[in-house]
Amino acid sequence: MNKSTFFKSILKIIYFTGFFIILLLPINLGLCIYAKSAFAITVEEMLEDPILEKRARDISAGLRCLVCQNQSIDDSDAELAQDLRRQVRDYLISEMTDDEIYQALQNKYGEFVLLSPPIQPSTYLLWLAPLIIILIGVFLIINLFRPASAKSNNSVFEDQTSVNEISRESVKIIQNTPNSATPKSQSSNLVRISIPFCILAVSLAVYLVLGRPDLLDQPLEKRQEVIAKTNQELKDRQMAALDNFKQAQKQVALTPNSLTSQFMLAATASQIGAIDDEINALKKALELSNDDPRIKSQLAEAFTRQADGQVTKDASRLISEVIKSRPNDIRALYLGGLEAFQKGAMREAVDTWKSATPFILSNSDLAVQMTADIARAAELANIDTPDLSFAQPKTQRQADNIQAIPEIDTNSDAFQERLSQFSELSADGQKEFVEQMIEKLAERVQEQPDNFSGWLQLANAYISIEDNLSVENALKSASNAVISDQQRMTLIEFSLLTFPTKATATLAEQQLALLSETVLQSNSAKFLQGELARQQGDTKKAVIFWSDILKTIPPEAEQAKTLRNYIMDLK
Amino acid sequence: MNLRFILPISIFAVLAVISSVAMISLLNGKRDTSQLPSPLIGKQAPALASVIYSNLSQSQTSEDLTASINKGPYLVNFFASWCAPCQKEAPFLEKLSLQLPIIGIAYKDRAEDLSLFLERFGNPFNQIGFDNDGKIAINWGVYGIPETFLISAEGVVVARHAGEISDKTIRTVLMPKLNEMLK
Repeated sequence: MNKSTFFKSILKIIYFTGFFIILLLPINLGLCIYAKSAFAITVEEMLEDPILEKRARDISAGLRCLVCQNQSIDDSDAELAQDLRRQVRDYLISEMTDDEIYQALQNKYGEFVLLSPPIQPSTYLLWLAPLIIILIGVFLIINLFRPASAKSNNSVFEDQTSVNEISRESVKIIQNTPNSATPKSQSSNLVRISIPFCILAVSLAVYLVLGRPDLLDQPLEKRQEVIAKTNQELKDRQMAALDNFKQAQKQVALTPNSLTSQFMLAATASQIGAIDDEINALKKALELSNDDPRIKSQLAEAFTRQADGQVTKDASRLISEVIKSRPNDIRALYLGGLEAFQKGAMREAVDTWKSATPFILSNSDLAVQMTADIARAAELANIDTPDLSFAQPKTQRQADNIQAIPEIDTNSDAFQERLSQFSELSADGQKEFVEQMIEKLAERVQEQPDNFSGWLQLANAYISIEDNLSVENALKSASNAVISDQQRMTLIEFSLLTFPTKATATLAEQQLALLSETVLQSNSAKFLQGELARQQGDTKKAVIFWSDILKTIPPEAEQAKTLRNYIMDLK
Repeated sequence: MNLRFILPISIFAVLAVISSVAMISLLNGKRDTSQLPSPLIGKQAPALASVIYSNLSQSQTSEDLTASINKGPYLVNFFASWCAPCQKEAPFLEKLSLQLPIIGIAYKDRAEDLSLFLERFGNPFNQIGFDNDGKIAINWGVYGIPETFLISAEGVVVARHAGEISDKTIRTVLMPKLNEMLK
């Protein structure tokens, strides 16, 4: 091999390697996005508002950790980085813009705190250097691919005295070949010159597809706009949620014994983050629903959320109760796994979580979270991550999403999602949702016709949707389930006071006749008998019953006053 | 000689020169980023309000640490009992304390640890305040402890030194500035 071809091939190899590196660069940049998933930020640092938190993360990614120097404070575990992250969040809470925050920190630490230096005269060279280098590269490549004829006159290899005769001959032959076919060589010149541009274009395309225009490269003003917009949207959503909550509160005031209204209150309270209201409403709903395990697991979740993600004793008790009665309850299983995880029983956590996976749709957010959680627990337990089998989504049915909700309702993400879906429903949609809930309740109660309180609940539920006929039917069914005088009294009270109609008055009359003599002599029975007489138009009889009661209670008691007012009204 | 041959060689040479200059200056310590000029220099020193350490205890309310200091320049030293270089610089601070008052900011420290530290290495400070959440340090642009600031009588930051104080820093950084001020 002679010297000239040797040098040429070396140069070609260098150029090609260089350009392949340039070509691969954007791919590496693109991979950075996925590599970024590991971050140093701890849970207690995070802001509750997801949008502010996102801004905090963005800003942190642009600030240098001054201890580790080539890491952003978002990536660094150094104590100063933690403090700075907290400072950034404090600034955000005091409603400073991104620019102001960068400026405030720059005033303390100098420009060095910014990971990407600002574009100004002293940094022009820094910012332009890559462009200059690329231009030089393009120039060199064009030069390399230039046809031999154009460069024959000044070829460095031709002047070398050491080049021997044979090689001189061969060079001549090579040079002569293109000259003899000029039109063909011109077109191939074009191809040669366009090669570097093609490489550049491909690099650019790869960068645009895989690059990260989301972070530092995007101008700050542009982000401010987006931030303002998302803030506004969030505010609107919060206002809507607050309205829903207030409405639910009103509904509860009207029908405090209605399962639906309590449940709605809990749902809307959770949306605005009123955790105490949510817990109270869920407790009431649990009572009204006769310890429905689904509500129980929701309550357990609310307790956990109240304790900032720690599974409390109360929650733990509820969870084990739910798992006993409803072993497929995803929410309870998730919380159970979490409890084990927090206790340090990693294997148990893995097993519990794993047992929930067959009920979780594989395309849900929860599936992703569950996979990550299980992997983490398995790693901590030093066991292999088990194979997980998630439920396959049946068919895409966007339209009857609402109907699908009860099936997937038992996980926290889906729970949140359902709440937002609920508030986004139209009035008709909400009504439909409630009706479906009631239908489910009705089915359950019909399965156990001896469940007295179940029937009363159902009656309550029907009251909330003003289905009078069904209320009466439910009460009739309840009367068949009565096993004690106490229940009978409750039923009579419900018929006469909560839902007084002709049919229920008749029902009350029948039930009163069945009461034992001792109970009939009690004041509450007398009161109800009076009320029945009043409803049937027999005021005299009513006055007699109520006056009877007055004789037995002290005249200054609250009840006596009320009763006297009633009697006055009758007269 | 031809351009095609010279160009790559010269580009390589330029890059090699640039990187070796960068490398040499880095190794010489001239590019120590922690010694970059603080933007606070020439500006009013940030406030120094904090809970104060005295006799094993800390005050309940936040007080101005500079209040007890007589007129004239003073030093602000960020330190902690858990920091090793702070132990090394203690004798030099002791020396400096003969010339000007020093305010110590105990960075993320505890009163009981601090009292042990002062007992062992001496107490050159006129006043010690706690910076438990690191906010004062951030406000002063502190990279890490120990870090020392020289403040003029007018309350303007004159100099900053990151890292421990030694004879050399007293000679080359603090004393020239101090003499300049006192002229």
